[in-house]
Amino acid sequence: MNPELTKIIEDYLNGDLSASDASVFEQKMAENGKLRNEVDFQRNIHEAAKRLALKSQISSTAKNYHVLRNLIISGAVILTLAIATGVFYVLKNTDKKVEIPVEQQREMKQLLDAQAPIDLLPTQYFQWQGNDTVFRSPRGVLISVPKGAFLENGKPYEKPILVQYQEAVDIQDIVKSGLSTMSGDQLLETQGMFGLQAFTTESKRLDVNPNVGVYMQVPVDEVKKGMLLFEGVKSKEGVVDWQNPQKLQKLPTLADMNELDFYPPNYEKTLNELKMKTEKKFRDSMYLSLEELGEGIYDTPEMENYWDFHESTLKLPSKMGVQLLDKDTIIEQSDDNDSVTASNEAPMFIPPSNVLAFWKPTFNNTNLSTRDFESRMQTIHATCDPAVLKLYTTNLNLSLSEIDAKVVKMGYPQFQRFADEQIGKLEVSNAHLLNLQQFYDKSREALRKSAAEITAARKKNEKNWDDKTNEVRREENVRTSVRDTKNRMEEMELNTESVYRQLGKKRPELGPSVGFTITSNVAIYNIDRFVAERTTTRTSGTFFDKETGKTAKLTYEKMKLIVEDQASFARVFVYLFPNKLSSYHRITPKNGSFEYALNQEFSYDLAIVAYKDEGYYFYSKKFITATDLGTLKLDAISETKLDATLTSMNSSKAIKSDDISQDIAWLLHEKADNVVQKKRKLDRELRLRLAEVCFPCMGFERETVEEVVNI
Amino acid sequence: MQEVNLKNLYRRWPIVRRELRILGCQGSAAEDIFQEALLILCRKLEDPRFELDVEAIHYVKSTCKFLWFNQARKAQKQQTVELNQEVAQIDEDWLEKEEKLTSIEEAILKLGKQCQQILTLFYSKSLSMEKIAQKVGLRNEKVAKAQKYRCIQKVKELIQHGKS
Repeated sequence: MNPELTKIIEDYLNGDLSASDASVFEQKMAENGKLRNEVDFQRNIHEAAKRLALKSQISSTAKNYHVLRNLIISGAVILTLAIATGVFYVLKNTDKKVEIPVEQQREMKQLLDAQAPIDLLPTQYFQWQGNDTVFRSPRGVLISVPKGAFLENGKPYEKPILVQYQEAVDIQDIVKSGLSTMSGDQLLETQGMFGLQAFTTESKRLDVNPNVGVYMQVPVDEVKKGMLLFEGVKSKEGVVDWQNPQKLQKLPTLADMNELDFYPPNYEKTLNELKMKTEKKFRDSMYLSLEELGEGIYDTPEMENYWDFHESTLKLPSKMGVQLLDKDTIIEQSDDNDSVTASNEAPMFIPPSNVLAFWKPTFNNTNLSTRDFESRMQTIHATCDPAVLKLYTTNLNLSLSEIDAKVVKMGYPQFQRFADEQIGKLEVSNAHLLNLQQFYDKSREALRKSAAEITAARKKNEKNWDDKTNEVRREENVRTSVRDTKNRMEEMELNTESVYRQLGKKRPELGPSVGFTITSNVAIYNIDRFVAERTTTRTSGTFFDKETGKTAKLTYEKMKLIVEDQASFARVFVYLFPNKLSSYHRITPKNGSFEYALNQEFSYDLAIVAYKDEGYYFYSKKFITATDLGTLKLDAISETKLDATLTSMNSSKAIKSDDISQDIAWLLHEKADNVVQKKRKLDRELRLRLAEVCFPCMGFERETVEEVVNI
Repeated sequence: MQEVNLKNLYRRWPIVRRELRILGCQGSAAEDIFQEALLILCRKLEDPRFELDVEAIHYVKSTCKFLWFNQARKAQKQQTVELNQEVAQIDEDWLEKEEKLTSIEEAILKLGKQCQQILTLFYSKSLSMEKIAQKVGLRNEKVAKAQKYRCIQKVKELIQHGKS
């Protein structure tokens, strides 16, 4: 872009070009669209500069406006005289009502209206019967008049009185009232002005008891920092000057412990999503049981003791997610001796025991049983710092706002907004507070202990079960190897007899001395060795006997089968019951199919047992042939029937069978263990998921519940 | 006179804030909209063809609503617009131009302090170059004028650069 051109356009726009130059320029513009655009663009820059100037003017107006408003105030309460009727909704009142007669009220009102502190505002009246009462004005201002709030000659006045009230909450009313917002020569920003006076039935004005006071709560658009309460003092000219600023203090809103919620955010939501029980008792104990997870003493299942396929897929919680903030760098230097520093200890989480310990009716009517603390608790959970909670639980004698300020000093600026609310103190006797303090400590310890006990009991249960499983498996392993050996011996014996029979020879009796003659150079190859080799490898073979010139044959043929939908079962066992052996074979699968070479001298019965969570499945066939049996479909079977069927298959053989009951017991235990392990895994997952919700600063690695279910 | 207006108008901010809040516009966004509406009013007043046929604060209020609905619509938010709301009708072309100006403003704000001062003083208050030179501390009118050219040039470059 040409700077010279910019200059010419600029001069043209500002009328600095000579008349002739200007007309040349205009002609050129008419011919050249690009130049026209250029000029328009530059004109826009001028306009933008102008607009910008206007904008900054507006923002400086805004600044001035806010500076003035921020100078000071909000509420101004005028306490002076009083009379007659109720525009008020009485929220809470006593039963013994002594109404001031309507006629008398009217008279009083006429008299008292003239004494109203704010001339141009309408007056409202309500009767007060001498007991704790809360009134709500049409504008939503709450006025709480406790017992003994008014004095006559320094003594609490307890007969019915008429309270006169005036309010100017929004700008129209304030303007209408003609009230100044000046404190000396400072302009105040107001969030409302009020007039309140109390009168006896004799129209005598009462004093406000400074030790009790009347509490007012005013709805505002926003809580502004630094709002103060001013008292209005009328000058002789009738102009109100606002004096004696005091901090505003909101009273905490008491609620019953049963109605409050101190769980971590989303804890209940998560439980609801999982459709867990809604009883508080259940949810409390679930919450308490998470404590060990927060402490990181997560119990590793002792899977290494297991002999077979139960592999641990569970990942342990890592502490990598824990953020260790160096709080010292944030904390302001302070002379305040009781300023607390945040704990730097590793597991940053709010122990459930610390929460549940105060969540009891015993703590009703303390700072902790307030809606205000309930809302703080959400933020406390998010800090993950038990030291923050401790400040609130150990300082029951302080006001919430004093504690809020301490927490801010600890390095948690998010509590500033609470501190700004200026929540005042609840009057509870010190002796009572001390008791509560001790009670809290005791019940926290008790809860911690009970959490530990629950964990220990659960671990003990799990260990017992695992020990039993291990024992059952160990025995089964021994039995299997004994059975295999015995089967082989028996089969070898039968094969040997068969070979001798085929050769037509008499089997030599084994005696103390056995003699034989070496007749060739080949390695000795006697009948027994032939039989042993064939039996062990389960392959067919022939044996030629030189002596007799006869041939003996041992035949093994392969049987093969596939179980339909095998993957859907937790485990599948294939049993073969040979008619001539006293025990059975259990075959392990190879690449998804079951194969076994059958001795053609025997007949075999087949049984297939499988289980999954829902129960057992079974297939059986008598006298199977050594072929590919194809894909076999299993049918559901009850545990008792399974037991009976297997027992009868085992015993319906030519010879006496070995006892199978222990083996069946083992099978049933495996099935039970399958369920137990799965449930445990789901439990762990659930607890990890909840711990994640409850202890947001700790990292827990876990699979999702869905994944676990799909294993 | 206009300055007086602004101050008075600003005093009505709490009322406007309350109305905006009902429409779901809160916090600093609301005040931004309020200021934008004031700006629109001021600029409209400069246009001889513009006639303010309602009280200024009403114009500002309805402009606020217009801006807020416009903004909400752009953000694709679902807004329930109450049909009886009094909403200012500001033509789209005008608004489009205002948007163009805003982008130039952004470029101006990227300039040095001195440039910003020269441009705003010259075009808004129509001060003479001589006075501007005094205000921003330049030797004389000529230097100020030369500086003004450079500033304009710089704005152009910034915008051109931003586009490419």
